[in-house]
Amino acid sequence: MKVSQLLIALVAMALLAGLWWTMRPAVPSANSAPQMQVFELALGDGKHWVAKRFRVEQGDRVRFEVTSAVDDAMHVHGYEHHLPLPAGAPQTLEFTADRAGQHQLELHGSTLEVGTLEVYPRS
Amino acid sequence: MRRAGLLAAVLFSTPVSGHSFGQPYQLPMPYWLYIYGAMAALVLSFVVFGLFVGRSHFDRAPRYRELSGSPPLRWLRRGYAISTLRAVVLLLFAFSVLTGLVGSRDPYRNFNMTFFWILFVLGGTYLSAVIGGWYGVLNPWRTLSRLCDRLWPAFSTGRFRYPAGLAYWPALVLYMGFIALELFGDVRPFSLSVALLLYTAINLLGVFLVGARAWFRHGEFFAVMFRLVSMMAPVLIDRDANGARRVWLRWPFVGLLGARIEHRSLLVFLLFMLSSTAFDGLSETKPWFNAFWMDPSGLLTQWFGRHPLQYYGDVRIWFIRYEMLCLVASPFLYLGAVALFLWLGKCLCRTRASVRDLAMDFGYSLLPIAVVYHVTHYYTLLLDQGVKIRALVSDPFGWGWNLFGTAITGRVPILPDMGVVWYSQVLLILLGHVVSVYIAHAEALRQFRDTRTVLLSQIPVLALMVLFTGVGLWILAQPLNG
Repeated sequence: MKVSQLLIALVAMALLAGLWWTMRPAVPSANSAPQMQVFELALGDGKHWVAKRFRVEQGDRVRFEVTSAVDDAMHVHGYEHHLPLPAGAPQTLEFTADRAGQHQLELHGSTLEVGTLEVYPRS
Repeated sequence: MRRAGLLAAVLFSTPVSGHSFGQPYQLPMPYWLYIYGAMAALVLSFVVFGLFVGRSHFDRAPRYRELSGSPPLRWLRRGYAISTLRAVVLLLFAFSVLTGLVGSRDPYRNFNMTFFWILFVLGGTYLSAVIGGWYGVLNPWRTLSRLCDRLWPAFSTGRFRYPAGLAYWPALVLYMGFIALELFGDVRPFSLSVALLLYTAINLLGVFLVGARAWFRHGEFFAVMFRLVSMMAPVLIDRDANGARRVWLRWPFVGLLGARIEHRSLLVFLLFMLSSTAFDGLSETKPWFNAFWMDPSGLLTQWFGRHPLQYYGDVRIWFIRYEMLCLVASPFLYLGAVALFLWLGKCLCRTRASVRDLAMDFGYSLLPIAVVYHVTHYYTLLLDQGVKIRALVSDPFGWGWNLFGTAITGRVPILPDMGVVWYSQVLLILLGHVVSVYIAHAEALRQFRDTRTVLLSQIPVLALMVLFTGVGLWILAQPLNG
């Protein structure tokens, strides 16, 4: 490798590192304490439902209070939580949203897409 | 206020995912990271220029090392190893069709959805980038046509000569249909099996009409897509003069050096690989949704007589048609951009080569950008949904079986931290960008003799690649709709 090429590589690396250093925001101190987020879902007969987004921040406690008119089961992907839903009986699923990302919620019986749990890194 | 209320109602009644199956779990990357990635792409482009401005780097032919004699490959070529692998792939497809037809309607509990969409489509693409032309050897539809030959001799020889003018257009049309099915089809296990049976019928008809050789080169779109991706692989599978298969090891991406796209339809196909991924990402973002439903131009309100949000249900079908039109138009839009920037390069360096010829010569340099963008968009699906195949093999029909004891334990996904996902996305996109600039630079050195012409020709090409990379990063940083 010639000296000029070495110089180009070094300058580029310094430039990229400098850009990274100046652009990357400081690690935020958590502005808010984890919250309890409650979502009530009345799923009816599992046929007439439009998918929703449920937004929380990482570390929040999430509680789904779910009622289905027919026997079914709700599955939370990513967390792999499974909530049996006997017809007409309100059921509760509570967990800490410690995995960031989009996690789908679906009904196993009616194969209905309930929505997406969006867990954002805490700002 | 009223409009905001309407918007809220619409947003909450909008399906969250346009995908038939599987939603990448990553979140939009932070805006600063997108800006950093775009600036880094620009810096690295000039580094490639600076480091490889001379000819010496490209004067040597790429080195290939033959692996055909290595023990594992000798074993593979012996006896029935290849035939067995072909049979396994074909049987997996047949089994996935069966599970779709008679198994659970739940896409996540039926083997066929994860097998086809995640393992075959995504895994097959990335496997092609790593070990090259595996699909040319194990293509299940090719295996099926060989079986047909046993029942009906000369089935695969074809009845008509493949029309040269058709080139790769059949593969492009099928590819577009496939992406439209993925994005708009609401495909379920049963309908996926029906679609696979239909695609099998199309392939057998194509083989019957024009022969296996022509059809699997120009018509079967997985064969075309995987073959394109395999050009970047560090492994090359070819045949010697006697038709014996050989395997070579080489540096990644050198398969693109000096390669020329043989027909414009193949260039459009390649650009559709990039534009369809970009469209898939964009169509889930807030700016895309607002660009139609908020009607910033006022044209829709004028056309329908009311604001489109006021009768969402009626207008939604038009929105889907509009999205399909955008999807089909997207590779041609990219082609226009490629032609424009190459024309600028042609003007700058005053070459006699036509824009069409330049597009064919420089086309493959866009492949790394297309493939890495595909990887950044979808690879988390392999870690999230893909690993769940461990559970699905224990209960392939979704009937509550537990054949191998993994029906429950095999469901645990691999979910990297979101920061790891974002940084890996930027790194991969930058890697693809640098390789693309390098390949284009090598092509310019091959075409033009003096350094000044090379540099002048490369300024617009570099701008085009920064544009593609920047747009890709921008899409990844956009807030999601809803």
